[in-house]
Amino acid sequence: MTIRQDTEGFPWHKAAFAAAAAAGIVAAVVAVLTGIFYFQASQADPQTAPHLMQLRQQLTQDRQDEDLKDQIRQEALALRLRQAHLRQNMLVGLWMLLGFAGLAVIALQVGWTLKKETPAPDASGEPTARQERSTGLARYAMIGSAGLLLACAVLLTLAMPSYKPLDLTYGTIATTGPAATAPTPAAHMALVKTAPGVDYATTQDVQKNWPQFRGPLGLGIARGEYPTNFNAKENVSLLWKTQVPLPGKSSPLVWQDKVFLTGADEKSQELYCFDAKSGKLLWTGKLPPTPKELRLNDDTGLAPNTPATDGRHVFAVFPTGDLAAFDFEGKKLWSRNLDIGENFYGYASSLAVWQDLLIVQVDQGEESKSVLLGIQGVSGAEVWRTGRPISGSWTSPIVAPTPAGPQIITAGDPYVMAYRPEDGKEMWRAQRLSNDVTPSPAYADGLVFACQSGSGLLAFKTDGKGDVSQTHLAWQGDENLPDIASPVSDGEYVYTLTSAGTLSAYSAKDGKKAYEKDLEIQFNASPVLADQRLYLLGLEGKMLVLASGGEYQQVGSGEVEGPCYATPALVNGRIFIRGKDCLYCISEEQ
Amino acid sequence: MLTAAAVAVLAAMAWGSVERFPPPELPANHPIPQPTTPAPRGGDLALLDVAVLLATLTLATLFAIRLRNRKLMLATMLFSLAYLGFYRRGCVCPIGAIGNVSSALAGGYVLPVVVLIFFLAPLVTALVAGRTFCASVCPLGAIQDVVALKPVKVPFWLEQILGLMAYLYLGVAVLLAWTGSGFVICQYDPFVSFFRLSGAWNMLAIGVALLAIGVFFARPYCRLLCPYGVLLRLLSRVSWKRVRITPSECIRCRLCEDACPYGAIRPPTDTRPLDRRRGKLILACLLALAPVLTAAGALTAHRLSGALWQADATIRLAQRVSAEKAGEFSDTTKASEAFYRSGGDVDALMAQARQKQLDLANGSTWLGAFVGLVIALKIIGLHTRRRRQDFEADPAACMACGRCYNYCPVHRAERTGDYVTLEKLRAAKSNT
Repeated sequence: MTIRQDTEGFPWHKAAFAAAAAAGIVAAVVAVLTGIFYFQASQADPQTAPHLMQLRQQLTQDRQDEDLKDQIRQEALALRLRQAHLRQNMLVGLWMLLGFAGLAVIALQVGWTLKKETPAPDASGEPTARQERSTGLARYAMIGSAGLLLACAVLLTLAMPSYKPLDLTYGTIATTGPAATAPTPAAHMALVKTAPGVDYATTQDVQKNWPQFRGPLGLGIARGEYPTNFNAKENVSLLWKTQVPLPGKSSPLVWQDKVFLTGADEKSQELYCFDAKSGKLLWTGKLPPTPKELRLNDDTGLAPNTPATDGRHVFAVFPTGDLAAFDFEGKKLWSRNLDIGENFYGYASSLAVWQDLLIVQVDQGEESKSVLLGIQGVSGAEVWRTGRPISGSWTSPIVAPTPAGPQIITAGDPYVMAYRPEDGKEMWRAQRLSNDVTPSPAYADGLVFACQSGSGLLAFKTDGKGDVSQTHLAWQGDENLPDIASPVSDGEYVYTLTSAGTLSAYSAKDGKKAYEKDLEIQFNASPVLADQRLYLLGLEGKMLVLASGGEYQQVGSGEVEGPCYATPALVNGRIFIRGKDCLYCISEEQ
Repeated sequence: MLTAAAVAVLAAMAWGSVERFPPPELPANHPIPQPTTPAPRGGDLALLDVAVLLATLTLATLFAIRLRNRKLMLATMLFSLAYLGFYRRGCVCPIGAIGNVSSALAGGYVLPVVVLIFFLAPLVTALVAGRTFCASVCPLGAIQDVVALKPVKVPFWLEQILGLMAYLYLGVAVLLAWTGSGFVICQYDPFVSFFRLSGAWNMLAIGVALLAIGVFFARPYCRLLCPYGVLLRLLSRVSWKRVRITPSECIRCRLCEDACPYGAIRPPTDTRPLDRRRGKLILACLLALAPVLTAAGALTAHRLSGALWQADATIRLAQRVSAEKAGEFSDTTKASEAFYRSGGDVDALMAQARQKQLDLANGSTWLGAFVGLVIALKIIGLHTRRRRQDFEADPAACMACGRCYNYCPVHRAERTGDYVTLEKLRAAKSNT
């Protein structure tokens, strides 16, 4: 039923529409005029006016020209005044536009209101049924939205299985340094061989110092003679003891008269440089921690990775993936983040160095993410990057000086792998390891020794190519295998040390066990060989000095205040031990 | 009465106030350029704004609920448009205050009391009397209301789907304010260009487009995009008083069916008994679906959080500096130039940017969970039948504009005293 409105009398709605049309036309005209003012004002911009720009350009060639300066000032002022005037006109125009447009709209509203018919029920059907139908459609539409959301979630999960919210383009940022672009491996090698400007320590210098985790090339062997008896608590053979500002489990490294150590807490990641003679803290290099969700085991801590040096620069890395290079004066040369992904206990691999290349092993929770990097030390540029089929490990690479040439040896689940240092290319691999691999490999006389408590002590020949799992295994030992400390070998025997304190010695040639001794001390630090002696640092701070060989023979002992997690550094007659909150230097010199 | 007294006191305090920072004295004909963004108001002038807000809210509520007078509501709306819109240039407004409040809750931002009042007062009013703020006080709603000339009915299902955008907008706005990335509601206010007679061309275009759409789809921003409307809708569902089409009884004459330009009028529901067992089963399934949708939303939003990086100035700067350092650009931007000249620490910048990215990723997870939960609750809501015996305004969708009053013969009878037409309609109804 419809009741039509009485339409007799003056058609006021038409008058309203006519008024709206008139106001609209005026508004349109005002809009055009305002647009013209806007265009003129933009032309009068003193910052972009062509003639003024030209005058400014002239001024740069003759800055003493006072007449030119006056001319520029006058012209700029004139332009500003003109622009301000035009903007004022534009403002008036905008208000008028608003007014007339508003008038037009109001007139239209009045017209529609006057024209409106009196209300009538909707003829399209019974309202309750209509509403039910609408609601039903809305239900389906909303369920469809839910389905779309679920589909998006599934697709995105499949497409981005381990999404990291961090932008990888923040990678290498060279704050200083000569190289901005990464050289190819071949170009890098040519540079190393031919260019006098590329500087790194010689092999002899490397052997004379302690440049990375477990010493020269990471083999755990020191040169020279060292104290066999000492007691830091009673100042016996203690040269100095110094506080380390922040905690950590990284080992010290030593280059000539400098000792380097890292420490970290949640707010800060630091590299310390101590004077090797006095223990004085010379400088502290700081690297702001990249904020990220770290999955760390308490045992790992925030500074478990031992730094490394090429004799010219010192490099430090932390579980956050932050990696930096400093010179020996403490100036940061470059830094980057390795974008560490999943690593169950926390990233704990230490750095290694070969000539001027920094070797970084980044084993993560997924095989597709694990890599071995060769980074040019001076610039931070990646020379090569090799993917690794390793799901995760806590080992560190060593550089084995094999008869066929240097090889970077790594251990992880499930492979022991060797790479060429020049270009990172894989040389051979042997599939023998499993589960959590923490002890780093060792090398002596053409054999690589790798171990893991569930897989055995494995000796591989290093002259293979490709998969040598079945062909190059020299021998295998299966008892009392270490879970943390790395083995060490002098070519005659291989020594392993379990966390519970069982020391075993195997013949390096055939794997025959020479002896086994329960030392009744817990160990985290790896054993070190020096001058036919084996130095074993216990967790509580007690050091056992044994004679190397096929029989157990203790020749000395030492004591510092524990806990001692880090492997000591033995160099130039001094033993550097990281104890509880401090660094000890044990030496017989006065 | 109390509100009126408070308003009067506040207004009196503001009388005779002067600007805290008057402009310098310049030659008489020197045109002083006006900033497009309104300057902060001095203490007493800010109180005046609060007084105006409280006064208009009180009047809007009085006119909508008590006096049921559409003309007075219209007058209040036009006043609000003039004062809060054109005079105050759209700032401070309760919608933008969402960003301020979020930032304050995140820490490190001091929330002005005036802003807090602007944020809370309409919400409190919604709890008391429904969305009277929308009808007569909000300048953004008012400018759209003015151009709603020929509103057409939009399918209910479409409005429900498009209405999800408001929830998403609210979540994004809160997230970006929380992480210090920006106040997007203020940045992307589509109508502020009109109020300030200045603005970016893209925002002006969006405003014009919304107004053009608003001619046929009344208040598109309010119904589909307004983040503050999400909060008002929630509170209006449980308001103490609300707009009722009829002042007393509903005779089901159906004359109000097409009265509402916002499609907020709901007819009486089906009185047939429900299959309770089936209903319970459906409810159980939907309740089980809710956490799945919440998790799906969280996962989706987390994976897509990179889309929000460009909203953050620190991340943009870090990306630019990183690219410049890597040699991808030979020139600098103003931001990067300023960074270098001020001796900015690149490592610290990168660390800050990474923290922001992490915050946005974590916040996006919550945002996605929120949207997933909203969808789940909407599905549950659409499956829930509410008993209605009369034609009623949906309290969540009703803008409390009062347009429906004059369609109701009971309302007209009570206002004019003419009950003859009402009795005719009653009789016609009982004969059908």
